[in-house]
Amino acid sequence: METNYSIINSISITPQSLRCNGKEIFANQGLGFRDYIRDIYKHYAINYQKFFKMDDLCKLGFIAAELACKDFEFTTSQKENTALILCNCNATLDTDSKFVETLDSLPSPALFVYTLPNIMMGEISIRHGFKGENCFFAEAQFDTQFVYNHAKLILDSTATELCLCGWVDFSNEIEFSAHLTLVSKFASINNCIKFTPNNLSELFYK
Amino acid sequence: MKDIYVAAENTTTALGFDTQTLIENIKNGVSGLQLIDNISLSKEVLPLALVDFESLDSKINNSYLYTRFEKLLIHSIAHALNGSDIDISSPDTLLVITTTKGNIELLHTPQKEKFGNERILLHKAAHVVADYFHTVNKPLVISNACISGILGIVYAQRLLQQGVYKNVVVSGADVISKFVISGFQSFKSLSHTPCKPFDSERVGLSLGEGAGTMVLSTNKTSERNIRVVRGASANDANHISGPSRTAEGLFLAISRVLGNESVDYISAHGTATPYNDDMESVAINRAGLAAVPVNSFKAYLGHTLGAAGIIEAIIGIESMKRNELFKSLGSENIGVVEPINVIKENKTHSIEKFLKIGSGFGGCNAAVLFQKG
Repeated sequence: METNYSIINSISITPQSLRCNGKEIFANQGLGFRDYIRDIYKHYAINYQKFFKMDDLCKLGFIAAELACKDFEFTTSQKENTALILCNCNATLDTDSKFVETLDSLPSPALFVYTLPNIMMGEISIRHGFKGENCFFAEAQFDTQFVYNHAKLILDSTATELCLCGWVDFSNEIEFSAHLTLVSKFASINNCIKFTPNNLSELFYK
Repeated sequence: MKDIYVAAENTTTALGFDTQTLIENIKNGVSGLQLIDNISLSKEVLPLALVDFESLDSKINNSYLYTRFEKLLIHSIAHALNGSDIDISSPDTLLVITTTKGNIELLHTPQKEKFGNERILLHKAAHVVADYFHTVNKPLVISNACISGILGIVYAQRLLQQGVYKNVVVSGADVISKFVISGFQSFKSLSHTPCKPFDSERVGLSLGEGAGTMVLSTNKTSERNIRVVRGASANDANHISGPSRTAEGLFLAISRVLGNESVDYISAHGTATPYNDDMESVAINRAGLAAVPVNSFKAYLGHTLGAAGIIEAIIGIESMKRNELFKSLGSENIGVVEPINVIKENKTHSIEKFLKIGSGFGGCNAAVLFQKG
């Protein structure tokens, strides 16, 4: 069934490039994840000290969310009703492996907390003041139909006004991907693209 | 609006492999927590609620093919479906799997050689379980810390409302591992004696393992008289590892579910950490529910992470069916920041509406409402 929901922004971060709304705006010059994500952080002059404490998965999700929400002015009610629906394949495997290495010495709470994939949604919620619905799904691969179905379900069935949804997956320095989109329940926003699985695929794969 | 009914259930825990056995144990005040001295799990002796996997193995076909996490799910799902008319392999049925850490023990135990690293991926493990039952639909996997189980029920209800499926089998499981124990130890949040939810002397939580399965259906039959009305989640937007002092997220989740309605009984998260239980008392008070009887099952079964919401919701449904409230074990001298009505003794009590609540790391909170009729 068709909806009147609209895509406000869509962001893709891959080892090759950063794309906003289908347009490449930042090509990666062969950097590994850490330098690359720091460059994006600096490029957008983001100033958020907590960023440097996050694990790599959260850094990736945080930056993608930062750009997906850029220039959108949330009202207090909208913040309270912005949902987060994220999915990935590896959950927190990279940080899990690092945590396992500390099992026989002194495991750190600062590391353990990042062994939950929904922590990424906690970080994004704290940054933007989002208090809406949250759900993290494990999926084999990024599938725009899956993202569409679950964003639509939450927009249809709850008081959610905006939904930040998509895929954020981190394997290692050279294998990672984020495809996030901010979707509004209302069609009244100027020049917005209609929220459909096809349009999502167009924006993310173009 | 379609009505969504609870059609079948199972709990596979330290207190037995079916819900009737579990309830008998709860009524008799029996705890599944035992002091465990096992160096492969922890350097310290800790109260843990462990499942008897030797007995469980004899109940599963080709059990050697499956990890402990998968065995819990397989047993719980098979037992829940046994005797029900729900066909899990039908295109009308969806399997939802909820877990916090799934097969994480494969990262650091000898099991790794046997099963390989791939099964750590949650969708792979879910696929193994789905294949056991020959499901047509790809399983939906939710991993959202300690509210995973409640979210599974909430999503099942929404998906059934949407009309894509007629039945949803929601199954949650987690196993105890050195990984999970070390993590909670690093936070200094484990108690060295069985946990004491809402008690003034509570010092931390106790861990448990197990599985719970709730089968939901849009099809009403004469035996099905308990409905999942609606559920919700909310984020505190406050701290990644500590609950909000104002209980913002849990209060919002409860408000989204209840509006101005009241309930007859609340099954709390009640982990017995000082902060969690205080936070819950604040949320319950803010929601105007201070007089509603409330309990925690953590001193019976430990904290079973991604299974807890489902197992505890199933116990609550048994309370509804029997119109009986069960004692909140370990809650002797109540000591939380806001007054709440903790259940001190088993007693009869008419329950039409029951609310299950939970919270977890990442500032996540959830609530789901069940009603008779």
